[in-house]
Amino acid sequence: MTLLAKATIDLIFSLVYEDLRRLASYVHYGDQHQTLNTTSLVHEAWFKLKDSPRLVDLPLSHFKSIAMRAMRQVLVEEARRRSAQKRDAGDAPLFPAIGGSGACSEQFLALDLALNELAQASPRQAEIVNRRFFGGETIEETALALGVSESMVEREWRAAKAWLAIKMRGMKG
Amino acid sequence: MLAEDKRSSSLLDRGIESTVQSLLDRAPRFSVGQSVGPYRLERFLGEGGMGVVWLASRLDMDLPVAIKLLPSARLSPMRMRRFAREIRTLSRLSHPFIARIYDAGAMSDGTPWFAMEYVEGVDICEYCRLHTLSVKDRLRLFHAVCETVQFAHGQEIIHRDLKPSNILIRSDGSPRLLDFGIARQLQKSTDDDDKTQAELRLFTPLYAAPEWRSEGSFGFNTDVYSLGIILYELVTGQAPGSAAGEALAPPSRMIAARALVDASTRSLLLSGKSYWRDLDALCLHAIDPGPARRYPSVESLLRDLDHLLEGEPLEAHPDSWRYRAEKFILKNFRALAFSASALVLLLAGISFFTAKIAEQRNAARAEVARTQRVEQLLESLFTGGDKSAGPKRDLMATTLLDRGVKEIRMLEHDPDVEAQLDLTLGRAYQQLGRFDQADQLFRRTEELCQQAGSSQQLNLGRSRLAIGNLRIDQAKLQDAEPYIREGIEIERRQLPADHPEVVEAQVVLGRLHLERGEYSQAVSTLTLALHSIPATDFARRAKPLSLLGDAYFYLAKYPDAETMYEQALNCNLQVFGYWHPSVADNLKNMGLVQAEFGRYREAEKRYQQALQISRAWYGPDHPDTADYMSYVADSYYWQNRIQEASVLLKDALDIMVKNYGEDHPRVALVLNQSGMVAHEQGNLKEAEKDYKRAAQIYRNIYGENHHMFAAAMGNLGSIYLVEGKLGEAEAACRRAIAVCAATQSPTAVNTADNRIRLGRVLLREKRYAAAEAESMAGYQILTHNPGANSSFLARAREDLAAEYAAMGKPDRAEEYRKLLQSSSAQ
Repeated sequence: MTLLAKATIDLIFSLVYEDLRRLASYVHYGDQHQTLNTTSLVHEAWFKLKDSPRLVDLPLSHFKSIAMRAMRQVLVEEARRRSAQKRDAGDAPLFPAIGGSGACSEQFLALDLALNELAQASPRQAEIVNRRFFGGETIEETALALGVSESMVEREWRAAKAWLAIKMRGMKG
Repeated sequence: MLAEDKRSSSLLDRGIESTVQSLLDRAPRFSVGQSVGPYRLERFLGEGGMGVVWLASRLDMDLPVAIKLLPSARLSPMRMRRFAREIRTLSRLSHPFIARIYDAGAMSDGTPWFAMEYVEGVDICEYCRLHTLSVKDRLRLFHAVCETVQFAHGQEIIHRDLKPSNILIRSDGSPRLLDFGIARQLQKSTDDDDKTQAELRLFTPLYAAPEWRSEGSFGFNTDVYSLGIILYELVTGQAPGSAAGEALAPPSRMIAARALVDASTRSLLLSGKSYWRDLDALCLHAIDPGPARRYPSVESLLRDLDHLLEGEPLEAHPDSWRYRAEKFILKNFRALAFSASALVLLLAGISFFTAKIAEQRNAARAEVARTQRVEQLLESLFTGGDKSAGPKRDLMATTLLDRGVKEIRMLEHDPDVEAQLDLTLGRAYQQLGRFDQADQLFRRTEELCQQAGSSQQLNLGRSRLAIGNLRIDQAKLQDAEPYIREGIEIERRQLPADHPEVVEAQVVLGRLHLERGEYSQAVSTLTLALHSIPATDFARRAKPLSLLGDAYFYLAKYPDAETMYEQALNCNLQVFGYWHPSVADNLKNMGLVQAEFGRYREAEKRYQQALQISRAWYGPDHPDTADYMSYVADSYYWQNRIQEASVLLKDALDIMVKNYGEDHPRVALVLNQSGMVAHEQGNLKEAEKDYKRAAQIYRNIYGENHHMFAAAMGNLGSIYLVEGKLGEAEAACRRAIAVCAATQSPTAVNTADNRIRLGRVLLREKRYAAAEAESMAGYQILTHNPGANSSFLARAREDLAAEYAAMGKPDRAEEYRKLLQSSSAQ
């Protein structure tokens, strides 16, 4: 990887992190932002990234997938850290967080693993989950991006969710 | 399955937002009683852009400290580096009014932290309100704050986030400056991570200077602006409106307005009227949205603050030389293309000199260290790439330099300082293309050093080298060598072999070899020089690496060239960040290599990046920007995107004409290219017009006996041939051949190309024997030359085949037809 490419990804990574943090705090304080639903916040984060001068010459789709990858990585790292902390602390949670984030982080790590497997089994379904979940895309947008019909995306999305659920349950057990 | 479907993915269905929220929420990560290093957390104090702050106490002694922690540091490399930088910064700043750092470390999970002085106090504005301080007392307090900031500036550290909540006043009335979280060292550009992306600029908009807020450029007087706003707030009890770019009301008017509704404000107005006028002037001068019009340094702000407190006239006076100089900068802000504040700093340095001269020369001597900084800035300013800034701007910059020269003359004699400044100014002139002035300064230095004898040997060597380097720019390559050799020899005697200056001299020698076409020697000299520069000294490595790239490029060792250019690029990225002309130049060179490989798409990408940088740095109408446009156009041309190339070239041409007028080689270069494109489009008339204009320009500038004129004539010949104007074509080709043979050599590649062209014209005129003579002559030169253009070789073979066929020599015709086929099959 050239230094330039590495710098770009580093930058995206850091920017994604900044935006996720901002996003988390918005969501946290919830209702003052009723006009902006959270999905549009994710989008907003990306648009901001997209307009960063350094990134403009990446094609949007390419850029988006880098950003999604970075975002997923940020969340995975964080989830790992959390569940490690939880293990260290034994049963009594040292860091009680709102909404049981310990459970959430386990779940999320499971999802990440399952998604990796799904990517092997059905790359398209994995791509759809990535776009819908990490990308906050609607069925319509995903269909457009992948050049397939909406009903196809709908079907695959449901199938992927079912598949992931089974996998994730298996991991817990 | 349905049940699975439902339960499944509660996570997936809740959406990413809820995951983000649970994983990155603001719930406290740390808790009371938790230990961090030798400290115990006691109370959460607050959270800023760069981490959370807790009150803590040392376990073994009852000392309260403030601990700053950076949660999830590993997730953001940039934050991690900034945090580390804050620690470095604080540990360098030891000042009674700056909260000092005690200790730093990392927790077992990697969370970094540092402990610093816990300051109990209230923010400066609040303090003034609570104690109803008089205006004078507020100014005194503000003075102390400025002195502290000035101290940090003396360490070349810019705070960048000054605001009342970062300036606490303790109960004893002494201030403490906090939060160097986004502070930055001015000259240490190896701190590369600060890309100052808008998204990552963590500051408080109200107090941030406009250039920092919107463009991300900053300098010492970025802090001046913030201080100005704080002063405004201090004296008026209210921060100025935040509307960006709007002219702010003078504080006195603001107070008068407030006094109508707020009795407590009234007391502030009691002092005299002229006093308020000066305070207004000082305040507005500090918060001028234009960095060049603002106080250039906290030092100058402090001087005026002193004047104000003493009732003396202010320096913020529009008639001073500095003011005029600043105006100059303002006008040339983008053209000079350097962080405005650095420019101002430079001027502050010069005017500082002026002030000192008036006092005494000893003081000036004591400032040699400072002189060196001025020198660095001066050079970096002009090396910023202003070489092509057009005649008008040159003039103004040289006026400035002339002034500097005069001032040095007044400095009486510290021969060492004088010699070094002369050399610096000379280099500045050289950068601006004012070779005569540069020459004068260098030779004067040489002469003086020679007279001074042994004490000035080193400067003698330096001046010899400078002259040699200048001769290269002047294309007097023969003259250059003895100067460079003598310079190197003297420096070697005076300095250790791996001293930066000796190595630099080595690089100059490498450049000379390169310019003389002695590429292998250039390679060995430059490689040797590179061995003496540490791998991490990016600033010094960039230049020789890029020269080495050139040498390999000319040797047609493209993979090596590419490696060198890439390394040079990496160095420049480290030193300057992405948005810098040096980076653009590296990218362009890398594009050239790609184009040599025939990877035009890759080449285009590099050129586009370079163009983008140039646009951002020089602006859209700068000749360098136009240059990069023509590179992009070239890559379009080779990708068969002729229409796009044509459009881009028209714009480039406009820019060149706007900058240089109609008659300039750079205009001709673009015309030449645009002729090629028009030719490709089948627009022969347009192509003919472009080539004719180019030839005309070269004739006006260089006369007819010049290879550039020959090149233009050759192109014109080709287009005449296609148009079927055979007589004109023949005349043009013959002219081109004659000039090439005279200025280069009868066996030069260019001569051969034109003979092949002529052969084709004669063939069309059915003068087969004459045609064969030309085609064959050209062909033979090319077959003996590795740098030959294969399309001309093919053309010669094709024509020779036709000529022999027409002359009734089918065997020979067949021979060339076969050669043609086998070469095109390759």
